[in-house]
Amino acid sequence: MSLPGCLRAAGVALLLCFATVTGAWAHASLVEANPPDGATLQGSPPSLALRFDEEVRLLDLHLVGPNGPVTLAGVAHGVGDLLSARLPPDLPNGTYLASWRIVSADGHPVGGSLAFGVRAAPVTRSAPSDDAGTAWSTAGEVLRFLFYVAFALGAGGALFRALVQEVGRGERRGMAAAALGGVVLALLTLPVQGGAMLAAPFPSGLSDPGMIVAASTSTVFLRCLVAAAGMALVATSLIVAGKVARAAGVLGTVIAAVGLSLSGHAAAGGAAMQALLAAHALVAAYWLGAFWPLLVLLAREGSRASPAVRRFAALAIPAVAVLLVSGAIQALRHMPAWDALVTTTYGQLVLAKILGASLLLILAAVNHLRLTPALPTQGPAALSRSIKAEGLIGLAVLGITAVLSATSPHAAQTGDAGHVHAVHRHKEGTERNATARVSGWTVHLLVSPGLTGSNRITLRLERDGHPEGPAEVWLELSQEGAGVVGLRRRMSPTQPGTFVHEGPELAIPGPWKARVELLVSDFEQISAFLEFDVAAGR
Amino acid sequence: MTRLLIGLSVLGALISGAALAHVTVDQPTLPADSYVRIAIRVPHGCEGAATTGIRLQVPPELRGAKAMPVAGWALTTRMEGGVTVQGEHGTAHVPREVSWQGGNLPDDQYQEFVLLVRTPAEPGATLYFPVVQDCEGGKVSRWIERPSAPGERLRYPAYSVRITPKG
Repeated sequence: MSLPGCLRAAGVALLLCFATVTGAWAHASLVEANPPDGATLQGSPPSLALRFDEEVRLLDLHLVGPNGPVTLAGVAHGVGDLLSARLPPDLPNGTYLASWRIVSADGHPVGGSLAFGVRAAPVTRSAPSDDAGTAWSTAGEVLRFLFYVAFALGAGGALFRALVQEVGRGERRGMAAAALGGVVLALLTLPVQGGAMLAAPFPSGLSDPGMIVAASTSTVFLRCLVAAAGMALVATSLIVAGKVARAAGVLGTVIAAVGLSLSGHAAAGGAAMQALLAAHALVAAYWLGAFWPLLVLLAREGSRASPAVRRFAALAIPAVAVLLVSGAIQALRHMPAWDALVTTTYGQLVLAKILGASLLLILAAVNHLRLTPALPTQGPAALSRSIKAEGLIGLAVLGITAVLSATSPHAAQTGDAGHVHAVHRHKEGTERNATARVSGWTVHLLVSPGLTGSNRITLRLERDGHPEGPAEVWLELSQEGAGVVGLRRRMSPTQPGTFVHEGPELAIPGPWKARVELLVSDFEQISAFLEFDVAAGR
Repeated sequence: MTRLLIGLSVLGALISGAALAHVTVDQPTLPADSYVRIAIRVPHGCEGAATTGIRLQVPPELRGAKAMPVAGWALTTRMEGGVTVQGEHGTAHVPREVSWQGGNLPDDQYQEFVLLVRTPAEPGATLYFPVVQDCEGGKVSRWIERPSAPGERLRYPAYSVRITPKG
């Protein structure tokens, strides 16, 4: 490793060291700050002053404003427990986030953050960026749909040749092309995600390498890279004939399926949910990907294709069971109540998917029970027609899935209740939500508008399925990568089981972590951890 | 190299962390089936404010708990919700909560609050001693967090004590 590399590694290690210590064992604590945490000032403050409960030594102090980092003039740590820094005059209006790291008298490094607003006009989005946001999310949905199709054709084809029957050279080339398309589509998702996060102009932002850098902070980054790697392996395996290539194709498919589970609703549910989603994707690819090779087989060999069709069906029946169970678990997990099936966009999409899947199942049953047994006697025409219909419905289901995975499972908040549908669709590009479950409690977090600047953070708490409000609810916001640790805010109850905090703390775009503390009784506290991304506002 | 550095710093964090000041109990392990004196150690106030009250929720696994009075502090026990056990001296009631209230312990001074407890008959259990520290100006530090996952780092952990075989 080169010297600069070593230094960087040491820096990272040091940061990590601080992060762990400050998170858990904070010792010297902030007693007073000026401007105070959470304050809205009428003018530009002349200085930033922090007083601690014991003597401290400053390691780092920085301030981020609406136009990026603010240069601090003359950081002084003159009198023991007091730190102060002169601020440049006439700070632009907006939200400011100060982060510090100090070493307290006993030698333990401690970090903290505070937020204040200068003439804090709430950051609002202008109309054009709104349109851009919608364009980015639509582009994301289209890319996802095309990727699913490529995944079904390429990876499904690889599964078919490994598990059912080797396919001809022509089909293999077609499947390899589809898999290659999948690689390109997965990689294309990166700038689109970055564009949505930074609310860049559409589509000119696509050519900006900054978009990929922005996306690299999001979970989508890993998902896309792993999926692309899996699809690349699938594409390579499809070009080559033979046993090893067939096995490599299966491996590539599994990698791509795991990649798909690394981001999105399932990723928030832990390893079990991710495994479930990966299984769902694998099985869907097997089923939908078999249509094309089956059609080719029927056209070429007619009734002699019967054994292959039976081999496919033997695996397809347990596969469909896995598909249904994993799909149902995913949907149930995100459904707050049964009526959400009709009242939320997410629920309606789930209903549409159930309808599509049911149609597919009926056709599959007809194929299996009537058309396949009749194949040797009546020829392949009827079965071919039915498989073509299955393919069309399968495409529709993939389309629904592409929109579904980008749709929030939760209805927009009370204020918007009158036009839930419109508002919800509109905000999809930015509004963030996350769900966590811990000791019988379900914690839904909604960040609106999910852009840097003033945000409304809403928590909906349920215990064993019913809304319930503990005595106190505290929210701790961190973005460790940006040096922001432990912004603590007490949340106010608005209605039973709903707690809200509105403030300027989310001033930096990127991945934020929220630790929610529920004080259930004097002696009982439950903590939930949630993560969400914040996009650049304005 | 990177891994080594990260490993070292994590180790450093662990060591430095363990030495830091929390409200704790003076013994990490207690022998099973014994009467033992334990002390709740209060090394500082709440973010600089003086301590005015210490409230302990007695672990339900204990078969007895008697608190020692401290001069200048009102000792109260809450029996509702406590357990009743058959002891060698007849039926014993274990309080649910013990509190020392109304004192004033400045941030830069140290105090111990002592209890005599009767430990569970069998070894193996981990007992949590959640403590609420009330301070001047309405400040409260709740030393009540329990890990929800192994190795989780807590800001205000409830002190845990393991019950070991009687030696």
